[in-house]
Amino acid sequence: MDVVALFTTWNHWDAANYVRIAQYGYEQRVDLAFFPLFPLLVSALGHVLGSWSYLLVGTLISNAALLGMLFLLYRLATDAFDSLTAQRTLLYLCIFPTALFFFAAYNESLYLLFTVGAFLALQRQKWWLAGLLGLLASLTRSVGILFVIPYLYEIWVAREQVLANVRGMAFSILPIVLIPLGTALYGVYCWITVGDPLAFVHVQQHSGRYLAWPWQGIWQAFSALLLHPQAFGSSNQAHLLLDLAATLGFIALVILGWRRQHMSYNLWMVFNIVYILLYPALDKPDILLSNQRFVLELFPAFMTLALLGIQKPRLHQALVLVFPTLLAVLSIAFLMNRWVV
Amino acid sequence: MKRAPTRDILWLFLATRLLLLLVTYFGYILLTASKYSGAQVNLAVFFSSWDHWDAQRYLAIAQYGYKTPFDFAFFPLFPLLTTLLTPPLGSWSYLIVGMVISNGALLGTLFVLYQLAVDSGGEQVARRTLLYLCIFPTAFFFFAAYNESLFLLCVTGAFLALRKQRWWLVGLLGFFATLTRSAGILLVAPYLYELWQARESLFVRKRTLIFAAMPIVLIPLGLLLYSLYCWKMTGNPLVFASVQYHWARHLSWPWVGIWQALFEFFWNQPFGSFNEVHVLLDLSATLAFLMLAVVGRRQLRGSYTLWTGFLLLYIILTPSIDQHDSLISNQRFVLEMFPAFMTLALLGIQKPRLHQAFMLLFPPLLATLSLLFVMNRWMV
Repeated sequence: MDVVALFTTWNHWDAANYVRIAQYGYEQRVDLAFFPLFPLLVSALGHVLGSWSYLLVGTLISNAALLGMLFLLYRLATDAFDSLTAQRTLLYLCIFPTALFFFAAYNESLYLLFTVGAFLALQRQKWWLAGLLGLLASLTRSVGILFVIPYLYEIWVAREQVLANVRGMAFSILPIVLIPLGTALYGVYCWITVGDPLAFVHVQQHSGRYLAWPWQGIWQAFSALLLHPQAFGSSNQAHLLLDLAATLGFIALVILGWRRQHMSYNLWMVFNIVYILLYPALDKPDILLSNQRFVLELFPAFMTLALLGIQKPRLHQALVLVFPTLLAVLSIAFLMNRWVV
Repeated sequence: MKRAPTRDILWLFLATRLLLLLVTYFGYILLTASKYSGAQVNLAVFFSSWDHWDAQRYLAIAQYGYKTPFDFAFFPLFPLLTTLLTPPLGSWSYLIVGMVISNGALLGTLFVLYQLAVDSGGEQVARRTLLYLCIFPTAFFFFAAYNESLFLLCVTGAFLALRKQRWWLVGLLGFFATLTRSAGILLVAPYLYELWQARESLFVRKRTLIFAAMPIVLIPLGLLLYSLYCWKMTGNPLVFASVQYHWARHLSWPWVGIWQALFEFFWNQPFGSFNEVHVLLDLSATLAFLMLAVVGRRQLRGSYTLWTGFLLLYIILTPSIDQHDSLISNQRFVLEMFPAFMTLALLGIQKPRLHQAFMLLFPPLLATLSLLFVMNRWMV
């Protein structure tokens, strides 16, 4: 069999886009939808190693970032709860049906590494570090800018101590500008290259995404499953089921975890969910397109899932059986180059 | 003996059935339908996605009877039950009834096996035994219309009856096991072993001895009955054995098949070939269960180790030496070695990392292999 094909089985969909951008730069306007830090890192190493290495480097960075993120997330989860919860959190994150994107050359794990690190820094009140990691996060994915919200919240919580003197104020509040700076830097880049600083937003229409009320996408997805259903056993039905289940499942997790999680997590997740719901792919049959992947970024929800799994052993058993199975199925679909995003 | 925890067993059973249904639905559709398509996949094909390979053979035998000589390789009890229970509603009903029997027999097996495993190693071992059996990479054969779970039900039932020294029941279940799969005849070995173990209470009176020893003849009787049927149908009472050459199976020295598999894997097959993958699966299953038989021999009753040992010997003595995958189907045959799953459970409890590795590896492999089966790729 074709050994080359075997090794490029992970070079599909957005992984192919990132690897191509890393190798050849932003060639078309639509490429600008892909934020720069991940392909930049791949490119830096790939230039040294040669043109054969980009896919490998991308995969390695993605997996190394996952590993680093696991260590940081363990710290966060043990701080908030206990070591059993932390272990379960990592387990669920790694076997989640779409966890294959932490293996492929996607930016999800790099983004999570920066975000989880930023939360850790925030909780230790290392404001500059939090700002810096926020900058890196917003250079990795557009959604990184939402880290402003937990930052503001934590400042508010620590206001008495932070606002006590001018120097303390400057040291703690000033770094917040680093977070939107990442987005702004990329905006400047877009401005220079295509003359439109918001090009990364405007090209979203290419993937059929439009600004909408948050409930519109969910409603349409419901409708496409039940009211005016897609044919039973169609590709659209299967994808709608996955994306709707992921969306509703994580909304439920935010609600169930509300009283037990840090408020900064809760707020951040609410904004995240609203953010992904604001841009549904209304033109496409799979309206909640990619939500099955986006929910990977909601790491506090995995802590809530861990708490629930500890409370209800049957739930844990079902999760450890069903998650790896779906992970296998979706990974196979991905590496067989079938549509999985 | 301790009663099995009904709800936990039901939960495990249902969760693993759900797992296979998810594989069928998402796997089949994602691999078949094109992107952004609202078009239905071919529903006739979709709903018959478990009607492949030997399941197809069993169901054809159930529907039309034994037609070609090769059909006689498939032992009669499972297709017979399917025929008897299928209402006259058309050929699709055979598939459903065959699968219901297979899954029902699995559920029964789980309850019986739980008792056997509790007896051998305690409650935790019992739970793990059932779990590993249900998520083993080839456990989807308990879901498809194969005779594996019916066979295991008869075999575990026979072992439970042996533990309770209900000899006639053992004989009867052995009889059914032999009618289900040829390997059932090997139950004679644990029967004799348990007789010998109970000799002090049995050998005191001639009557009790005869009463306990007599039922053993029921076990080969199953085979004899089937031979008679073969004789009547084809004129050759051993046709079920003689057609094995069709699958290139021949009696060989025990090392021949394993050696050939090693040779194919390390030397003859190029990397990434179809044969390489299958040899890897079958070889690792064979070697792993050989190891489990050896490791478990001290913790388990002698009759259990005898059963695993004889089954291993049986599959190793009849390799498919004319094929590249000489140990073909061993990945399925090892499912019948239920005591090895108890040993696996013991090992998993002793080494939590091993348990974690099983939990991470078994379900994805199960998903992958069942997806291949569903997609009608070669999987036996």
